[in-house]
Amino acid sequence: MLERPRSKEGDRLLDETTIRELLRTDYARLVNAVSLTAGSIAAAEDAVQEALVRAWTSRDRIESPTAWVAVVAMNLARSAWRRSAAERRARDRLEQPRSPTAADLERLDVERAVGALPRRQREVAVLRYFLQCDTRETATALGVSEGTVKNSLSKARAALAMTLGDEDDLEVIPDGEHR
Amino acid sequence: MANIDERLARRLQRIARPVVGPAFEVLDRRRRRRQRRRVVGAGILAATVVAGSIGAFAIARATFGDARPEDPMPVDIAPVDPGPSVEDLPGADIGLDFRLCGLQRLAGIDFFGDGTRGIAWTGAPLEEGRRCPSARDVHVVAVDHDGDGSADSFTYLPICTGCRPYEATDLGGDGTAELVVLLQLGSTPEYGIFDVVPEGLPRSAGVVPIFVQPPGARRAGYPSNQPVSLWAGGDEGFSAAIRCEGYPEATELVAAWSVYSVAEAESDPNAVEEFHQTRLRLEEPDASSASFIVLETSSGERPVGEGAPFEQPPRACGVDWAP
Repeated sequence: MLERPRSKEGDRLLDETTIRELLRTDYARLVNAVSLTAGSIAAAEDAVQEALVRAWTSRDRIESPTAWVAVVAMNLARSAWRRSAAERRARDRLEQPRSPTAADLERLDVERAVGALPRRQREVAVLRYFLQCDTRETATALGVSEGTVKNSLSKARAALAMTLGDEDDLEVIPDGEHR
Repeated sequence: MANIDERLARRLQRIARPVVGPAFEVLDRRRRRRQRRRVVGAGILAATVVAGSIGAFAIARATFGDARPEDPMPVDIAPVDPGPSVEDLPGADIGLDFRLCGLQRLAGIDFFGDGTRGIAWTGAPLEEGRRCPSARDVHVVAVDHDGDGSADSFTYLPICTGCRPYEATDLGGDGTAELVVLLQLGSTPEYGIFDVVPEGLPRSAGVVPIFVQPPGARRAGYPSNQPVSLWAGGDEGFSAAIRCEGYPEATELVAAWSVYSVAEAESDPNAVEEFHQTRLRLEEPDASSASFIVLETSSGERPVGEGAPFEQPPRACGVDWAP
């Protein structure tokens, strides 16, 4: 039987207390963040719960649990079977159609703007803007260099500002000033 | 004036919806289910229990008779009558240390290529003192290699929506049958492949999910060290197909699927779908180990709506994947 590789001795595993704390403090924003890439709250909830379980049972070292869970959940939400299962559940929960509110339209704008970004930029933008992860956390969670994060964030920022913002939003902030 | 990052952060966070987190116990249950999925080789314990349980054997025989049909044929076994008899027959006994609700059976399977006709079941374990349908949402697949009606082994299913033992076919070309279990019933059925291996004890066998060898093809849905899943059919936004080449002597499975965002396709005429095609071969170096290796995989994007990369044949590897 094949087994997944074990971590090196001394690596920190997430315990029940950490998982409870994550569930209490970060669950809602994780779901909202992942829903920007997953396409629905139901799919995001399913993916975040699975990612939390994986974090809990993981033998890997997890430096930033929130960022780690977000990235794993975003990846999970991409998988086809999970998407189809989650959509089936979402369909079950569908209510009667109603007129969109201003908040609905605002959400649609943001979802479209984020959804239009290439995958890497989208992930960086969600981690940075929604989950307030800093550059190092984002780089670690995505398994890329900090330079890649800065580069992706710069492009995502310009695209989002162009789509969502006004003229002032095009003001460029040097990468060094970011958290 | 707030800088652009702060303004974008505020803009994104403003659309957050209220989300109520699950109770910790929900997550804990999910964790335990996940850990149970990894439990394989539980057949040794099950077989030991079975060997010492003549009564259970007798009940199983009484329940299922001496059925040894020549051809595999899924048969729905009504585990309970919703009437008064529920109290008397809470689930079906197939010789495991628990009864099963919602039992489904496939008989006439030559697991070891020796002409013996075995049986496979799926069902939900019934907790003691409860009645069917089981409150537990876990399901198992169990096998009886010699067809005596008493299960030798079981393992947990990763998911079950209308699951059942679906078909038995020789994917490895060695004359032994692999068990195809329908995990999710629907327009896009999902299948898991299980191997039945001898475990050394008299009249015992283990049932284990067949994994993907490293490096696998994570992007295409075949990550290494994970049980293999196959999809066929499709619904809005998703399409999949399975074809078979070289069956039965040198079988290679070609699995393909494509997916796109329905919302995106409605609003963007240039929307694209991602597609993946993976060629797999079952390796069985000996009687007790089997795994799929990824021979090649390709992924890409193309305009929305082209469907699966190829049409689903009526049967592939002896299996009708899109019933």
